[in-house]
Amino acid sequence: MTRDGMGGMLRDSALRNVMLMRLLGLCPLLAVTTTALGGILLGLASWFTITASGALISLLRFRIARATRLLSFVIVIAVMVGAVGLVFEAFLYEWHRSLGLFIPLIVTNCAILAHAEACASRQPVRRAVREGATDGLGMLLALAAVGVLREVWATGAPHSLWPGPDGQVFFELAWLPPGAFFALAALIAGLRLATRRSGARSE
Amino acid sequence: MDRKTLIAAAAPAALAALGIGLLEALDRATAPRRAAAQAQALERALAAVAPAGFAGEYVVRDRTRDDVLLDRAGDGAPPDGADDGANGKPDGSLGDGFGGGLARDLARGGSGDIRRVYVFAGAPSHYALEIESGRAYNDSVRLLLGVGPDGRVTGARILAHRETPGLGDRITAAAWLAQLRGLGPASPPRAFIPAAAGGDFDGMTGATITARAVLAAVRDALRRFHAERGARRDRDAGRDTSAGRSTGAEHGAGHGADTLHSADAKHGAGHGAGATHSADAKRGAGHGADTPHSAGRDANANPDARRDAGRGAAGEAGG
Repeated sequence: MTRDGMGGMLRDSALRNVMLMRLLGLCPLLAVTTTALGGILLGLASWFTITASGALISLLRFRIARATRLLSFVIVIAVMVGAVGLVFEAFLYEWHRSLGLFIPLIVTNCAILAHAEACASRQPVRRAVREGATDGLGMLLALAAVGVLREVWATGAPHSLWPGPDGQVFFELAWLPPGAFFALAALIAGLRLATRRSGARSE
Repeated sequence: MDRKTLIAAAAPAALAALGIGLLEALDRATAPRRAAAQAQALERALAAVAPAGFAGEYVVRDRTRDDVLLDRAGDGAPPDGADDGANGKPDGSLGDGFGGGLARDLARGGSGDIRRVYVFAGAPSHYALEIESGRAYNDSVRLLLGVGPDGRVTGARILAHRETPGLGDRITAAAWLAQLRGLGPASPPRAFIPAAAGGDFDGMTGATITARAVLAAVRDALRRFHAERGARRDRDAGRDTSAGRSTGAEHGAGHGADTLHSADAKHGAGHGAGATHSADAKRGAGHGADTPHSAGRDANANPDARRDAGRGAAGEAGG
């Protein structure tokens, strides 16, 4: 199931995409992706969180008691998210000022907890990291895709990535909550169509 | 408790302790960098609301018990540093920064608290007010308001907010903030109500809850500042020397960023001398001067107001 190399990882991240194929963790996907930059930065934060927390949980998997494992997972994930928040505030202050309030919500992303429970707590570190990085990449790609789609739809170009003229909004719906659902639907349909056509199987 | 339970409880407890230690260390490691980023953002905001010819020099006045503007010696950093924006507590650090008499009574209204006043070097009757709104959609909004000698807004920048991205956060757009320019303590109440809510402020945003909170804060802060300057002018007319006014040489030094200098000498001079006062007097006299301006606003009122209203309500509820 897991393919080797970077190409394999990229392929897996699309075929088993946490958000677009398994439809997990959709709350951040819908909430934060008003701009391309927002999607990409939240995707990076999610990627780091799922990879690092998976590695730590795998390392500690024989020390965590079954009865309290979920509590332990959440603590590890929360610490990773806290670290990301501080680093973002230090190095991406302008962005953090407006979208930083979404970073703490990564703790509640069910896909990250699912990775901890189903994979990291049962697998050796190498494998946990690889799976985590693959799923994280899938989240990053999905978040970036929805962000770019919505921003282009709303303003004609991803101005958050290379600033252009200020504030011409063509299609405001894209920025409002329904816009996120439309973009999500388009991406899910596109990805399903592509995988069906190439004959690839996700299971 | 049996042994098994203790072991089960030990892992999360140990993890929590380790995690807190790690975050504490990271918090300390990044603190200077975060403070610098914050100072930089403040400076950009100040430059944006400053009078022409601003060369990066200003003096900070914190509010003190007396409703006179005084230096708070040795403290030039934003009150309570990074926590300020993150927690957004409207009254967290007000106790020592802003309080007493008139100020406290007005502050309880929860809107337009003037947290700090910046005086620009070389332009002593031009101020920047750091104000905090009452609760907007998610939390209070902190903004910087440039106020000219006539008491009107010369420019504005948002310093911190937690509003809905893509909706409430459009108050940070230059076009929205530009609409604040020209508003003054004598502007009619309608000028501070967004068009989408039936007022005259053509805000181009449907996020009426956010816009209302910010506009109310601007209105209250402008009026409060106007009243306070009037009171100070009257008092200063009574005792003409301004000895002891200027105490804050250490102010600029404590501020963290290198480019800031305390220009207290210059400022103090301007303060006691006639320059400020005459400007104040002019402003006081020309109280009704806002009328033509408000008429202009009426003429520009947004014809799409109804549409905005509907969309705003739906949008904010959804976000």
